[in-house]
Amino acid sequence: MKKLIWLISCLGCLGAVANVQASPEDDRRSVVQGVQKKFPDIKFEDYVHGALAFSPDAKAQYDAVMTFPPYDAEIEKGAKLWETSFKNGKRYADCFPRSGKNVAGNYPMFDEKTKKVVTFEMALNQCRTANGEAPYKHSDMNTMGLLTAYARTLSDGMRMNIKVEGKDALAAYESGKRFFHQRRGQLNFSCAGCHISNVGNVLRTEYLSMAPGQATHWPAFRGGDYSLFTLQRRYAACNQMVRLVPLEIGGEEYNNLEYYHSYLSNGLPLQASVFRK
Amino acid sequence: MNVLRIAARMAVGGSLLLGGVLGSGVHAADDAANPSLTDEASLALANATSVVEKAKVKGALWTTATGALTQAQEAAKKQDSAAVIQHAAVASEQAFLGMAQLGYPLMGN
Repeated sequence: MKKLIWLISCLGCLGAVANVQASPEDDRRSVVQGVQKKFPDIKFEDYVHGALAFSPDAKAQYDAVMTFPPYDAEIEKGAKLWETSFKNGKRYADCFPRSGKNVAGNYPMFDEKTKKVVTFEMALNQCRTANGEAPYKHSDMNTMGLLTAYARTLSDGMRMNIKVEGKDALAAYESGKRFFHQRRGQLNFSCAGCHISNVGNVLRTEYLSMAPGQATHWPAFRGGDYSLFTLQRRYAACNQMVRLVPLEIGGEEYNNLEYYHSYLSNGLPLQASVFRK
Repeated sequence: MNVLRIAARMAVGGSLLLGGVLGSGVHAADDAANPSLTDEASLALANATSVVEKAKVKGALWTTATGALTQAQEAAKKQDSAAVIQHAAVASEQAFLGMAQLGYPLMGN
């Protein structure tokens, strides 16, 4: 009997260790497999469409909007910001490999020097400050929002390719993961409660989208007035909806959350500045 | 959830009682700011402000807690001690609950 108890204890400990040591890739695979098991007919590539993947009608409306996006003029404004030279004559394109093409899928990335997650928006601001310009506010949709709305389109089609290497990067990833799975706000919701545990269910007339693919299509123009939302602005709106005072857009908590959240989309193609309800 | 509510209420009540004994310094400052508020109301407001700030730092502040604190501050402007105590208690309780929430089991693992 004692041997049996000892054996069960050992197995329990092994299980606990295995759980603690789940790698980011284990996490991603587990989340993707959860969706695949529940919705075997939805192709992995279609996860980028989020809730639209559950509703052919909604997807048809989306396709119609995307044929001639009514917010094209806004993206043009972003393009103008991107192409305008700094006072020293340099441009954003000079700060990134391949002149900024096919780079956004590598962000957020972990900077070993500062021990911090660097989002694409932060990289754009680093480019500005390195060239003597003042940084944009991450929450300002008229500057950072528009700039990102264009800059990310340069990476359309690129596969999300987030890397978590080293113990500090893993700590940031784990911090973001914890946020994603923690209940917050008076309504007691977590990101995972909707987008992992209840994928495909309907909440307030809307399908709940799957976490993998969610980070691939930002910024998005949302609703009837096509308001521009960056991913972190969406986090803030989501937090507000569950009655949590939103955290700082561009702050460390949301950056770590974006790091984890984006990792779940690894392998999926980016398509920026799309329409979402 | 009920245990947490009771704990939060005990914490709020306890801090009010303790404040009655130990918080004469706080009273003096608050009384100067709100001369016609009762000591109890001044302390309740100071306590709620502090707890709400703690919850905000932890990223756990409910919008409803902020709303209740705003109502308490508005009541203080009108020198309505009873309303200050009522709204401050809600703000404190909900700020505690928000912080306690961070320790709940993780979802979707």
